Amino acid sequence: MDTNWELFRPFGAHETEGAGRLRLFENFLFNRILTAVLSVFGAMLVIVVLLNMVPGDPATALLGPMATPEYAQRFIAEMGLDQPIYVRLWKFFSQVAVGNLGTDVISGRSVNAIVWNALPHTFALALASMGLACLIGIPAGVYGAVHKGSIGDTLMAMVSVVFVSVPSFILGIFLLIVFSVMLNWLPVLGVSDNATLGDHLVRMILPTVALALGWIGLIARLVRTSMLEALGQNYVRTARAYGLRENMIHYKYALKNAVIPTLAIIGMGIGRLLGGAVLIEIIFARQGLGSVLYDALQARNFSVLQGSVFVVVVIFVVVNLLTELSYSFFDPRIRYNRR
Amino acid sequence: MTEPLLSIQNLRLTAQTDRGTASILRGIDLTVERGRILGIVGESGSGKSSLVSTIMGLLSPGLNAEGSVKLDGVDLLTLGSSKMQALRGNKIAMIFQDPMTALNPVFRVGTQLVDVVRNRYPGVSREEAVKRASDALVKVGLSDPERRMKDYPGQLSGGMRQRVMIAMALLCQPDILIADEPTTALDATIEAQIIDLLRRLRNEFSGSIIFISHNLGTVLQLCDEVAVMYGGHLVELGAVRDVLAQPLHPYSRALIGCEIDDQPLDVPLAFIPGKVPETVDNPPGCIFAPRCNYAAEVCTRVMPPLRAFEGQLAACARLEDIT
Repeated sequence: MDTNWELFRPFGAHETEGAGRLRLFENFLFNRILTAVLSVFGAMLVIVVLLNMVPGDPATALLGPMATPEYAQRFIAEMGLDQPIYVRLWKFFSQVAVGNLGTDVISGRSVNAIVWNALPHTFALALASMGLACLIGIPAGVYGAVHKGSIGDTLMAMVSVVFVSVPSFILGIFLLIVFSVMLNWLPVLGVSDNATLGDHLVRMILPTVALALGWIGLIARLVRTSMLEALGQNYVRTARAYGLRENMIHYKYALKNAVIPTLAIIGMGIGRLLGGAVLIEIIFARQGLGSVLYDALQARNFSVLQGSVFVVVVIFVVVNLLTELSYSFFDPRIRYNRR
Repeated sequence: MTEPLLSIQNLRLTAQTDRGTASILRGIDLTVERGRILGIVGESGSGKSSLVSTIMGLLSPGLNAEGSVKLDGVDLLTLGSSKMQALRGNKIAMIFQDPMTALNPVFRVGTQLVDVVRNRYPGVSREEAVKRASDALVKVGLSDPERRMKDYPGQLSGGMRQRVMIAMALLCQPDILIADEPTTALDATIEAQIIDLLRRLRNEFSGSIIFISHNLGTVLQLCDEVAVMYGGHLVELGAVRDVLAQPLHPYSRALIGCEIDDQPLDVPLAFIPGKVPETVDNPPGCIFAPRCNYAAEVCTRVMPPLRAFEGQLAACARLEDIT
């Protein structure tokens, strides 16, 4: 999460630094990608070791207690579970290197296909939730800072705390009961069986809101804090001294400064949501990555689990990398070099 | 044209604090004529910056201004915030003390200038605004304005940033330009350049300037009149040469005595003993009496008003005795 600011600094006057800056950027990218690869590798190591310690072996879980020992033995060998961890890791990574996440021993489907089918559901939900959270959270934070101490601000502070502290699956169940069961306004299932876009969207409303509320609260609080700081800065006084409209000062001049510290959290949020909102996907029966993970874990289906966890880790790391790159979009001080 | 451009009458600025009512300005009377440059000098905490913040209508919440501040006959203190906002950047504009923080670090210099132009002249097209902004940058002595417009403030030196601020002020063509210690944060060599720039721009600029400074030398170079402030009072007012050559008020004398520029090296530095009065204290007598070398019994009774004496104005009861 911490940007390596030093990498951008030690080059001289900005008119001659074109080539130097490019080299710095390449250095930065190389460093980051190396870190990312190591993170993925480390995460997979931890996952495989942990899976090894999960009680209950897949043979019993899948074949039932009546399976003959020979049959169970063969099954375990087929999954590769009789081999030591480093061999399994080696096999996994050599497969991944050629873009193959493995095969689901139980169904015979490729893990690539399973993950590929789940990804659109996950991406749609994650991006919609985070989009909604920013769309409401950022203006709410600005409002809170501008009208600091007003009734609206106090009310929002209270609501934010509730949103942040109640887990999203509780909110999900609550929304489901109120809007689908009691009021019957929205469908219970979070995923459409026919493929019309409208139906998809309507069914996404409840899970999106359930996931977004917590992030709305968090983003609103963070933006409010950094916005308060920005509003106290001299450049805001300058903008006022030149008669710029308050709306322009707030949403243009102050907000761009105030958003920078919030980027890390927004990036982390997207990463987390893309990693599968497991419980929400289960509550609303959406076949996203979270559901795939949950089902695979239930079945002790290690091949699917390994493959999908790998995808989750990669997504998280990539989103984090993009977040860091986005800093330089908002903060020019990262782009050019100061003395 | 007989009426002065800016006329301040009995301006008081107070704030409620835990220790009682703080008086930041204790009744200021001041006028600024058209096309003139007024310097304001005084120690930190004397109320210089509060005075200009009041004129700009940029007081922090909790501060309470009484009296009147008339610009072209319109009392600014009674104007609503939206009317005041329309006035800022139009009839009045300001250059700030610290150019390092006065510009927004995450927007290009050009963006900030163009926004100010388009706010001041709503009918102006984007291209025209860009052209005016880059012309203004040339005027304040920045070469290669195209590149400067694309730069972020952090890419400019302090002197360059202050030039950008001055360009911003010029673009507004205000009736009154307030410069709040525009050179305090700069190196001495840069300071001289900026003062020189302001002097040259003076001819081009038709409005009045209020120039706040610690440095009496820069006031002498730039200003027509000078006002000396102490403890929220105006203690002396007059033509800049007169006041600096023959300061009447004991505080002005002490302040000029503290200038270190042309003192011999082997003499200890002069300073005014004691400290600036607390804003929450309301002594009955002269505000400067506790630190004054000439204080007498008469000084402890009542704060003397500004009165004419030898072509200047000074707020001292003992002018006749001490000159």
